[in-house]
Amino acid sequence: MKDDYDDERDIERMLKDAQVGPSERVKRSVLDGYARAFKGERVVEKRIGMLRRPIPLYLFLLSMITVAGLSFYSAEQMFRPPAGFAPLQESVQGQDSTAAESLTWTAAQRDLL
Amino acid sequence: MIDEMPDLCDAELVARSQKGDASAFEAIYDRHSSGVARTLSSFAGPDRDAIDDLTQDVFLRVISGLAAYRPNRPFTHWLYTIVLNIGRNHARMRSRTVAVDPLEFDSIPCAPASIGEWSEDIVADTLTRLVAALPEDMREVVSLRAGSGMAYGEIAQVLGIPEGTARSRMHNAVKLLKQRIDMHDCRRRKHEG
Repeated sequence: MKDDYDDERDIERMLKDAQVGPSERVKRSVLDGYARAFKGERVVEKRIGMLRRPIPLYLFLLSMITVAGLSFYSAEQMFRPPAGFAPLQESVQGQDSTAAESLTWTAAQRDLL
Repeated sequence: MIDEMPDLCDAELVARSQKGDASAFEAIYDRHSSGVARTLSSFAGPDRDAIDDLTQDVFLRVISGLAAYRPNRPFTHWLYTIVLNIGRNHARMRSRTVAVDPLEFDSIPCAPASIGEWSEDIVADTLTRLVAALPEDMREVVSLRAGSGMAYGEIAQVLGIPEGTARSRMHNAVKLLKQRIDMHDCRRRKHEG
């Protein structure tokens, strides 16, 4: 008949058997950090596991959406007249005779066509 | 040079490491890294990349604190205090981003009558997930006991609790693990039938 004590020992044994030793890269990184520390250099943490981790799909999609949004925004800005710039016909009427003539000429040309 | 290191006790290896002996530090790493990683797996679950990162963090913190370390306290107690701090921080960050429900893991097979029979049915990483989902106080005792192989007296010293409390937390943790397996089993049977 098994009791709780046996269960405790079973759990301990199975966790010990899990074989989750760190990878060789961790050892190299740690020993490199030790050598640097004794040379008086700053120990920089390179995230060993993070380097192997693939970029999650949602981050990839988010970055694609951001890039698409920014492209659309900048394209829209490129073709939009500057703020405060009134339609040409209104701004030139009675102010700039050359521009007004040019408009008239364009209108005449349109009539011919 | 490194061949003679395994015979030295932790205190001597640390003293040599403090003087810049790289092979002594390598011997410390070789002696403790597996236990540290096993203990951290109780906080990180079976995510090997996270375990690597956390193990690296622990030893880099050991390096930065090595000069200040005084041998009036056993090295393993100091080491596993660092391990627990890093593990707790990781678990806290993880709980903000990932909701862990151990009963949702499909890999948990039908619960046998006794945990002793799990060895063939339940892979180690499932048990690691279940331990990672335990309440913090229980998880720490289980992780130190199974990860480092410490006696209850040492665990009590590292955690700053009475030995009896450490024992009862382990007892409660085992009970809870059994309950969770049973609950999952019930849910599975309902689903199947």
